[in-house]
Amino acid sequence: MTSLLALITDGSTAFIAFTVMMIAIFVALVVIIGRER
Amino acid sequence: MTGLLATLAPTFGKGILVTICAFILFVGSVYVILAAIFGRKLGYFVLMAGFFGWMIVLSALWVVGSGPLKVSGASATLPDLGPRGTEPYWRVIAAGPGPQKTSYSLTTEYPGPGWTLANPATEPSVATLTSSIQDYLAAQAQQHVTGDTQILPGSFVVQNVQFASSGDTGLGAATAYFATGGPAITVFAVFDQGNVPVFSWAFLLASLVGFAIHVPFLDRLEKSRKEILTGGAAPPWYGPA
Repeated sequence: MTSLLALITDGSTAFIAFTVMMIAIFVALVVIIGRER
Repeated sequence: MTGLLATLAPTFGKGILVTICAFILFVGSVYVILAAIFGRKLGYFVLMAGFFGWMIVLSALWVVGSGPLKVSGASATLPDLGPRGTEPYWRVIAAGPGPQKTSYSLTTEYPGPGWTLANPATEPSVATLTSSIQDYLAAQAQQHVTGDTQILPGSFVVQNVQFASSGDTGLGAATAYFATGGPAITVFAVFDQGNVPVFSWAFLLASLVGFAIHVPFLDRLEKSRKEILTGGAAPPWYGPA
């Protein structure tokens, strides 16, 4: 976890990391909702 | 090529990645909501019509500025506030001892009639022409230097800056020499107007084309949606988003 955080060195990297996180949350939600159905 | 790109624009790849991420987050999140309301297809066309419509407004502002809208006497928004193309600059066309033969006949008559001596205190062009000539001479000298000696533009002295005009084209000339000794070289340059608004126009045209492509599809889909409300069949349900 610490080494992953060390990759974020500036604002643009943080923005990219944030986008990846948002996509991960979105995909997880789609999968969970799909299973519930 | 990759090495050159890395030198000229070290954050090029990251810039592309950030642009893609911005589209995913800011456009994608709106699309998720629109798709949940309108369905996938109509949601896409509503999104794109809105996106290109907004881009038309924005790039039109980049192209023309606010025009008649004034705030305390000055234009509220000046033109060319968007992405900028090549700025106006002095392009060196010839250099050598004495007058040179170029496509402009005036360069064979320097110094002489047609050329006027510039005043560095009142004409800002003197400074820009001087630095262009210094950059050019330093780059030329650097090609003849072996080892890792760096020739700095400031090591050239530029004197006797004169201007002339050939039709609509501005010409500049000066004599320059290496500060620690060397022959006096006459350098001629032409004022290139550059092309600052090129990207603003490109954005405007691309937005107009994108808008024109998407609106007819949106119109057709919206009409078929109206048919559902008045007794037609509902579109198939694909689940959320």
